[in-house]
Amino acid sequence: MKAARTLLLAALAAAASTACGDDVPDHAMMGTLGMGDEGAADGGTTTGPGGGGSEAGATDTGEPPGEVLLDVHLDFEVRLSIDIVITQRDDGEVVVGFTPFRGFGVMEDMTTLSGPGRIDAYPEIGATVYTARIDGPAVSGGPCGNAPVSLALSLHAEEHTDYLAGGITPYCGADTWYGIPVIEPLRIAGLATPRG
Amino acid sequence: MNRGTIPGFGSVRGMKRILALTSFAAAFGTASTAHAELERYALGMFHFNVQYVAGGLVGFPGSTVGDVRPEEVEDLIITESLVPVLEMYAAHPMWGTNIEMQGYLLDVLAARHPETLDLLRDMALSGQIEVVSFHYSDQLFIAYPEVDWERSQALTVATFEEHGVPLGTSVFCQEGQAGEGLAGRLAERGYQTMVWPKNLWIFQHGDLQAEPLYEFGDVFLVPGGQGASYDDGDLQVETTWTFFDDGELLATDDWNPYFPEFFVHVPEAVAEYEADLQALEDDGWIIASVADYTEALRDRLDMMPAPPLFDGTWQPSSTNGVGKWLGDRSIWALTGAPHDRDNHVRSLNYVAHRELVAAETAADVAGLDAREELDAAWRLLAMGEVTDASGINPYRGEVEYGLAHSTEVLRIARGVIERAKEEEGHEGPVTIDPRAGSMVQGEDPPFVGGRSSDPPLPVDVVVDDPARQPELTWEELGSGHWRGTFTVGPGEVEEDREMAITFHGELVDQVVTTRALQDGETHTYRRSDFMFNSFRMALPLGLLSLGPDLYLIKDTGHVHVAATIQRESGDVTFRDETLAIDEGGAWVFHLFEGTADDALTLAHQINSERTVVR
Repeated sequence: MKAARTLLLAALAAAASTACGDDVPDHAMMGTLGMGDEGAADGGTTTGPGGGGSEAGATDTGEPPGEVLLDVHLDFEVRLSIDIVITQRDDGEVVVGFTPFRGFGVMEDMTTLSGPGRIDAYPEIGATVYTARIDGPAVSGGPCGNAPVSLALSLHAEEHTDYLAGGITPYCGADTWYGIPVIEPLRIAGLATPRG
Repeated sequence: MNRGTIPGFGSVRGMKRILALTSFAAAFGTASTAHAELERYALGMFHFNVQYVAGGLVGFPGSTVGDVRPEEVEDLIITESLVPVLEMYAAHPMWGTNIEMQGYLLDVLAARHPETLDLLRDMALSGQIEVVSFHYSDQLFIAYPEVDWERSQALTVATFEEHGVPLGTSVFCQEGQAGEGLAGRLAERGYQTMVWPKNLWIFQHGDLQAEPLYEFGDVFLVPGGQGASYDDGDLQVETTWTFFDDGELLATDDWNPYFPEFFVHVPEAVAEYEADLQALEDDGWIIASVADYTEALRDRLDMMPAPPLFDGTWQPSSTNGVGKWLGDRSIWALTGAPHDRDNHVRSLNYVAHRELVAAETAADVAGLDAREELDAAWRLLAMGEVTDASGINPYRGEVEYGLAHSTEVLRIARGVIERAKEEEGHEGPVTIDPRAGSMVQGEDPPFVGGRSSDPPLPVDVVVDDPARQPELTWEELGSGHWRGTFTVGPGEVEEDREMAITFHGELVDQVVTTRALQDGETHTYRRSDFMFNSFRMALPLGLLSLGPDLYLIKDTGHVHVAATIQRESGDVTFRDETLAIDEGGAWVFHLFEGTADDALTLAHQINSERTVVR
């Protein structure tokens, strides 16, 4: 499993540095590959393109074309699961999709949502954070009522471990990316296991 | 001492209550000596924590009731434990007490328990209940930079104002966190009395024959949970505590919210306590809040200052001080290994702090109006720093609560930074220096270019599991400045989880560090002032002396476990028992030769106000 994860991340790093050209430093993804601490912080940390939510409304439910950078099955709210796929499109855009086993009233169960993402390096600590801003539809009977749900994903990875941790934080309303979450962030964690 | 009138909780109402009660007591034969009137006070501190099980009981090992979502646990805490206590006191309007809570609890009441909020507000406005709150979330604030608490406390004040509840002038905190540095913060913000947990005092100084009140900077200190007595010939005072514990436990006959099937209101338990209070009142005791007590006595006692006290928590003997939150393995043994990830949680909290500080700087430089989203992120950071994301018995859901909140802070902060870059026309990497208040194009990371070097003192590492293949390397970053990196790989033996590093410092009497909520200065303690053999320190800025003019600074983005100091040795040890078996890790420490002021500046540069390339 560990070898598979290492290969996966190696592919991720290579793809990010190749596809993003000047926008992404050579080591942008090396935080998960043993880059070292601040002593190696000799490069920029700008993310993969597609961030900032400029295309936050561009959600879809299919597999986007491009190279899959991360395809993992993680624990969701401790005892459930979620599949997460991070893809870099041919045009450089990062797209994040996830399929939660259960939606907790802010997503539909077992339904894939996707949207624009970012991959940010934190070279001083040898870490990488994957984020996405995904527009979710209103969920009948959910805490947001008839309002759409803005779903913010954040996932932290660091060198020396294959463990990923973060969550999906739901905010009521379209294009709403901060404030008081309508429910507590939904927890994601676990050793990065490639889906098989 | 500040002997003037301190604004805040209704002192006039409080004095009326005390006067009425003392008159009542005198009329019905309160005991007195021949030369002094005896006043007897019975105090209570109900520490309520709506984040008792942060994130709810989801996937909880051994649960017989299935998942209990976060808001359901919060609701249980209110209906089963808070409401019965309030209703009992409401039946006795002349009894005062203290209800301590995080500001967030008021928001929960407003959202889902408005009638309870109304009751609490009425009792607070009448002066019967002093509602105590020093932080919005029940966070481990003594382990983080002062600004994290400042934002949290400001939110608490705003929350109390929003819901019309007067904020008490007494202070008691989650896990009994206390520190000398709090004195100044209390005085600045209109608080009047620090309730210092007795065990944190006794652990440091031995048995305590307590006075009713002590000087604590410009405010007062009451030893919480410890009876006190006083007699100066004119005034005789006796103080007792009727309750000083988790408020959740009284009405539920000592069951806590981790066991929802048993965590139910037991009327007999409340009735028993009520009868005890009635007996005290019948015996002439005044059942008072700490605010009323302080107000009644502050100008009538000859007070001595509190002794030197290290920062800490309220049960240091059973939690190894702050060790349980910062590296010590927890006590769960229900199914398999504990779920603690202390260093992961606490270092990621700290990284989130750093990113927020950088985002504040970037927004300022760019003139970006990001106040609302930054404030929202500060709120999330307070939640993520909740004590129970590590500690005595965190289960996995609580650990991941801390992690999930922190990563959301990182997302929001990074978004602000990217917008600020865009606003300034920066397309590539920028260097953000919070101390300089600058964001400039290009990459200029700090602490680079070291050359291999030996450290200036002996350093030992201990790693139980040899499979982890520990490695410690040192480099010199400049004259008198070294950096050590201690790495371990994955292990093989679940039981052999411990890793530790010991710096063999010089034994001198002085210990120089910083105190919680006092980031602007160092403080010098003297080992000879204390009785403990060893003491765990959180080190909110990572700074601790190792001898004259030699300082250690842990890089809290990599390692945020407790430092253990010794009374009879100069050794300082950092230990982690919570690194997962299949994961590696890396700790980074700096050593610095120089003055305390320069060491403090470096600690800020490394930790609280880190220059970052983004």
